[in-house]
Amino acid sequence: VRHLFGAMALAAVITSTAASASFADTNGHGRPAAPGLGIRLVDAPTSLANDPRAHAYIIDGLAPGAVIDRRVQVVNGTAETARVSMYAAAASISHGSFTGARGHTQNEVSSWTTTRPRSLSLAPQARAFVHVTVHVPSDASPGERYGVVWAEVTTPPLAGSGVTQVSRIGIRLYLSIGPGGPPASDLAITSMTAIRDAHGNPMVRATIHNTGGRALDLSGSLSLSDGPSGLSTGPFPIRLGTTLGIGQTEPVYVTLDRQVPDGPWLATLTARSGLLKRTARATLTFPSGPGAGAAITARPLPNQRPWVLWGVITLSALLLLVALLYVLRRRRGLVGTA
Amino acid sequence: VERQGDEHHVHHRNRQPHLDRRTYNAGAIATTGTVVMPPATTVTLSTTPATVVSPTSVLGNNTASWDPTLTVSLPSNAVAGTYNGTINTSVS
Repeated sequence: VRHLFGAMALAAVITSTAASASFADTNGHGRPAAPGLGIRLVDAPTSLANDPRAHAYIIDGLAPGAVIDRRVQVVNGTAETARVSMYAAAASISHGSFTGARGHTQNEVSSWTTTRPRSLSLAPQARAFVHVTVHVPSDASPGERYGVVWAEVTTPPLAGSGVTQVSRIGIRLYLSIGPGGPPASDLAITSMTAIRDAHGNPMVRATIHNTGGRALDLSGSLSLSDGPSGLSTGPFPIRLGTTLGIGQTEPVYVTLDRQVPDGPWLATLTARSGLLKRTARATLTFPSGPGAGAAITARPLPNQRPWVLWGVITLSALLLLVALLYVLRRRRGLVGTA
Repeated sequence: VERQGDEHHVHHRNRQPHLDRRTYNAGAIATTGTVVMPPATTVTLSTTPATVVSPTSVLGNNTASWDPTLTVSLPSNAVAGTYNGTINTSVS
């Protein structure tokens, strides 16, 4: 039995006339719903309680034959009753993007996933829980698979317009199938390039390679130090939205402040996905006009874990103690012979 | 989180005319909270979902909204009549 707990999670919203999205939301009780239709994941496994990705998306490592149940909450923030269709469909990761397939296109993970109920009628400001059950067949082959659980509303064409609008919001599924625990996540920052865009704004392009066994949703930041006159600046956030499939390599971009001088700079980039964090450095000089410099190979920094730090402190303290005892004994010895 | 605009299926009775170009432009994007949206660009729509709006950074609770402009250019030899289309907008 998996232990589940209520989680604050991502909510996304679409109105029927104009698209609108809210990227994060608290559980929303006791205050009006954000405009449009909203969805959020309610349950996350306790084993991933510290992982922010597991609060936004359904992420799990499952053995063949496993069954999981997660709740999502759907909220109607529109002024009209919404007829919401709930279903799972295929998704894939390519060119750095997680993309839901068109319409009801199915794949393995969506065919294993059912929603209960399959449709909802929500009054304005009403909320409802929907159970999402994934039943992995016992003969499922190993590997990570992707899908989306969608909440969809359809707006028929206005008189004389002829355009039907289908708006859907969804919770992503990242399921790693295989016996034992799921494979570890890892990434490598391979190179960094200093760029100046057509408007003269400095940017850094970093190439990131997914070297682990799970997909990654990248975030992170870049800091510049050891610059002209000893200047330091940052951190500047990595542009969001990059998802890397297993084994894929994609660039991520960091836009810097226009005032940043050309350099040279010591650039330190930290890339994260969930609990994974990797840091690398490169010495960069921005071109004086629009264009790109050479790609500089990034030097990975060792992972600074708290226990390493404590280990170093304990070892230093021990060495100091030994040295102190040695000095004291010698002094006593000297006193003894005198 | 990315927003994807996907597809106009345009049907004219039993014919599916070839359409020259179908484009989507999100226009001005209004935001609340901490979210950075790069200026919208015109995206050519097809039967494959394509990203139309994506933030560069987000923090905490926030919203973004926009009123997109859809453009359908018809070839000069298109048959006169009533055409229907569907636009799908996905957020995940």
